[in-house]
Amino acid sequence: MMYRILIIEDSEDAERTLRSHIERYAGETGIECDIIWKTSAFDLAGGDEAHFDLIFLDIELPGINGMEAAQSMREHDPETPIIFVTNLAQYAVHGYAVDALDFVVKPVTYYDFKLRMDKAMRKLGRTSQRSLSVPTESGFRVVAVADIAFVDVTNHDLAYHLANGETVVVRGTLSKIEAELEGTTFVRISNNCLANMAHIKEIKGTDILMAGGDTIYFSRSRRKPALETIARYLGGSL
Amino acid sequence: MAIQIFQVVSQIIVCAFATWLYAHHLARKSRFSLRITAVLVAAAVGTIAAIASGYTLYPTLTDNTSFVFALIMFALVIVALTFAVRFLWDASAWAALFCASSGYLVQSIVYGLDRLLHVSGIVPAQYTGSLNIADVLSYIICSIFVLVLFHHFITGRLQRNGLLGINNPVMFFAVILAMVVALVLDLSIKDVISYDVPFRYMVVFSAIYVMICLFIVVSEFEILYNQRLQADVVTMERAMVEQERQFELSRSTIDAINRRVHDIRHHVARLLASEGDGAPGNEVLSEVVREINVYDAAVKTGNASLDVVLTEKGLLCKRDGITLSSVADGTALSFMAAADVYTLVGNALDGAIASVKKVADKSRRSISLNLRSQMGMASLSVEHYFEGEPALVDRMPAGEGFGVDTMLAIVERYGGTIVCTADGDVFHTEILIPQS
Repeated sequence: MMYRILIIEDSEDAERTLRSHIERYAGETGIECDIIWKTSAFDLAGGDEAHFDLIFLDIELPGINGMEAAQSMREHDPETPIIFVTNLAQYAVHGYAVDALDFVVKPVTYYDFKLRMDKAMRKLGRTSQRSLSVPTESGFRVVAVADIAFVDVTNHDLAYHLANGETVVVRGTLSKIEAELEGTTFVRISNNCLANMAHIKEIKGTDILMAGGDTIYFSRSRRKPALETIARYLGGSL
Repeated sequence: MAIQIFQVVSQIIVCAFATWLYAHHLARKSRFSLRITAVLVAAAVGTIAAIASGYTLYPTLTDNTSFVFALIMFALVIVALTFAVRFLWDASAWAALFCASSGYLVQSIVYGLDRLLHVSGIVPAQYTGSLNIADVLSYIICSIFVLVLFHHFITGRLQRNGLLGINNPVMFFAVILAMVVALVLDLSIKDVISYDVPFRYMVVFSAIYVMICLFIVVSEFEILYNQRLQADVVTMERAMVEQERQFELSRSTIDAINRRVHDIRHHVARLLASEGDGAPGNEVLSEVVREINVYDAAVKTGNASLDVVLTEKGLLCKRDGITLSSVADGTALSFMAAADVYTLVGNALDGAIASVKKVADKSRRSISLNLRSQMGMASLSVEHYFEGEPALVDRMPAGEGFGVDTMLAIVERYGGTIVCTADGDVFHTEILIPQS
């Protein structure tokens, strides 16, 4: 797996440290990294950057500072994980505003780096390209797992509710699909529903509001184990 | 005669078992098997004596002397049961009295229910001395029915340490008084049964007897046992007050530090300005500025209480060479009481710090804290390296003492969840709390 990593850092020393950490990490975990280094965040803010899997962003930069650049970037790219690298702990605390994954304080030791890098790798591993082959009446249909908002079952009819509003209905059992979706971002929220945590907008008591507008039922008996899974998903350890 | 023997033996067995239901989760005394054998032997001797002298546990109300005798017997049984409980288990006199009186009452309910069945004609009444299989079955079924119900609703809910704090002499006085009333009613029913009283009155009296006993034993449980639980809550609240006090202390300390830092920065800035560029002392002054910045650790997350705890723990970490980085949206916990935020996050960080300190390699002493609002919930996660075996019981760190219990109590109070996982050399604590 090849990961494209962008480092935006104006200090050459700091960049060298970070780069050596990434290379060491790549060696230890067997992944491949393509590291690009920029000294300014202008391109990032302008939205000119080609796609990257992970961005290490210094906050104190000449010209546009990292935090502002990240805000601009987020306007059109809500997904790419950002890890702030900084001297100023105060600023980084507000990293949540730009949905930053975490931050490291300079000088960055390898293990500080590794703790955050592991988290980034877990997050990247989540948005997998997995897909399901759904046997419809007109043949097999390939559905990307990431596009499925939730799956529910009534009698023996399994309904895949997709993010685009479409619903694909086939015959099947929920348990079988649960097993197939093992290791993805799906959680069992009731006896007859599997929800994709990436599509959950809000949880209010026994109602789960999905990003697409649907409201699905969160059963009391499934609540505790489901919440634990969601806690781990949101916390980043899943 | 056979019927009397059956009655005495079965009543004693049910009474003992019911008392055991109340007392069995208490701490056993040493050489328990020896003790229980002694108690069983004493009970057997007592039973034989009772049968031999021709009395049952519930003598009749034929005249004044027999009434007094009935009261004495009642008192003796309660005292004997209390002694037995104290002998077998580590319990205060009051806790033992609670078990004894409750056990006796449960037995009374079984007995009353059995009589009700007889009197209402459901079980054919036999007044001959020979033992009828219907009587035996009826009593056994009543026992099982009542004991199972009781265990499900009452004794099953008793906690391990729940009986320790029971201490309410006034309440017990009332209970004993009520039990005497029930006893008198019972004796009256026994007496009246021999007269030609219309059937419906017997049913009504028997039913009332059962209901009185039920009422007493349930009230006893609610008032005495729940009082103990309330005492627990009071203890917790006291601990919370202590935490609040610490919170205030931290806050004023941090304010003081911040003021000093601000002043020093000011002075240094003036010095640097007056010296001009390239002056010999500049490097030292710049170094001072860098050092000061470290202590300007005042964190502003949008939540005053969170600011205090993160700053406080941040300084602690700095002092101990631990890296603590936090990405925290304080507004995520705006629904939570200030003291709860301080206690919850404080305890989580204390646990992480204690754990990280045990890591041999100093460069691995790193803690990462994340707090944000997602899905209408506050998601708080703390990650750190650890070494050795993660002792996890029920997915919570074991052996960390009161800190973890407090965290769990707070999280559960807000309807949230905590889950801890050990993944290789990293320990994750993830907390999710609904914001409404």
